[in-house]
Amino acid sequence: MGKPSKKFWDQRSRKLNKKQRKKKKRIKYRTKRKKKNESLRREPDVVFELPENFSFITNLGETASFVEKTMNRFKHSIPKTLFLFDAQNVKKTTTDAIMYLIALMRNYKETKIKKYSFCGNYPNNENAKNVFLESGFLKFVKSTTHKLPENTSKMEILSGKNTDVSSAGKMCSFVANKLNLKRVSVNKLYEVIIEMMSNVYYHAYNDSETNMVPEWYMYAEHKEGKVKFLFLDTGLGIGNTVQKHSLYEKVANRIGASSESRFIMSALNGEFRTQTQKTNRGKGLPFIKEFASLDNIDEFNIISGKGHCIISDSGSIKIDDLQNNVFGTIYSFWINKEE
Amino acid sequence: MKITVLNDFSKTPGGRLIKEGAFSGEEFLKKVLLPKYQDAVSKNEKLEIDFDGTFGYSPSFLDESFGGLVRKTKEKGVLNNIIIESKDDFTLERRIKECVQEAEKSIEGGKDDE
Repeated sequence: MGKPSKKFWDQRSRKLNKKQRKKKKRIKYRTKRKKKNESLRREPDVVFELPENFSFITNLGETASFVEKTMNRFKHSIPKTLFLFDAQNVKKTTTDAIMYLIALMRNYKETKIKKYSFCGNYPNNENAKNVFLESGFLKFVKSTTHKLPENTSKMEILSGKNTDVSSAGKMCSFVANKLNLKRVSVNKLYEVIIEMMSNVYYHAYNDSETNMVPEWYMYAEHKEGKVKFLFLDTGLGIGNTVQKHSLYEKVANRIGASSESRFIMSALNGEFRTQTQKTNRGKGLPFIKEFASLDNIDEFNIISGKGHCIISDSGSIKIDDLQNNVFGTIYSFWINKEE
Repeated sequence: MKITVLNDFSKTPGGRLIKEGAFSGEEFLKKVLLPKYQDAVSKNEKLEIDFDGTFGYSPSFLDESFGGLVRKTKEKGVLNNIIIESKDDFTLERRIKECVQEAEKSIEGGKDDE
């Protein structure tokens, strides 16, 4: 066999050059992308450090205080502010607070107008981090964290703006399945969910007074033989939206002298208080109270504005005013298997 | 004349008004309850409504449909022409009666709640 011809070397040279040109092009493109990403990854303008125990259920005061400070900061920040939610030091958390965090990022009205942006990090504590990941938090944020395999004892956070019968049905089927109940046994739960969704649509929205776009969030978790249920709406809060009876109450409410817990309690007790001033309305909250008084419903909590009510099995209501304002309304309760 | 909410309307009844979401009380009233009620009354029959098999009925749904029936027809005693069948929920008949009674009071008082 003779030496390779000039033609062979020329062809080989052309092939190698082509490969090298493609390689250079790839490197150039990657460098360009990296520089672009670096310019986007700027330092946050405002940092919110989440409390170590980030939970309305187990740490109501501190969590409510955090939420109110956050909202106040939103109101007074300049356009294009980048906010960081620093969760690194969170050791304990529950999904009610995580739902509220999602709502703060998604529903604050001026976010789009003022072009706010948000970033954050997960807790260093593995258990607390898993609560974030298994709640369905990743559905609402862009994250490089890999999704965990589905935890079938948890129904990931659902959200919506209208009365969504499909989500209500899904939630009830989950509860019936986990507690091994017939579907008809969760009818009351379905009816209450529909009523809560309706409240978001009709009563929680007053254009001039609320800072949040009204939306509902819902979550359930099967634990220790019972189901924990959470519902959050980002409206005005019950105390602000229910109708005041007398001029005194109107004035007292304006100057902040009234007890929001008492307003919630009176609405739950069915005293005629409805913003729409129609005689056939105002039944939603008394219906919720009736549901809360069922034997298989425990620890029914309502947190709304500065009000906090706990409804017992007997139907009695314990009230507890908060120092800080929680925008919107949070319902939380346990569902047991009926005996 | 008989209707079943499950087959003639929906397994998942919704809230009060059509604009709020699917399968509302308003939709049920307009598409099913009112036409069937008027049809039954014109034929001198009672309207039998089977409520079983669905996920349930919120107070807003019942009020807008049955209270709405009274407010639309401006008649008292609509329940004399309706038979309520509900084995799933024994409180349903009482709840419907309450909605109807309240609506009857409002038409009596001349208030228009719509």
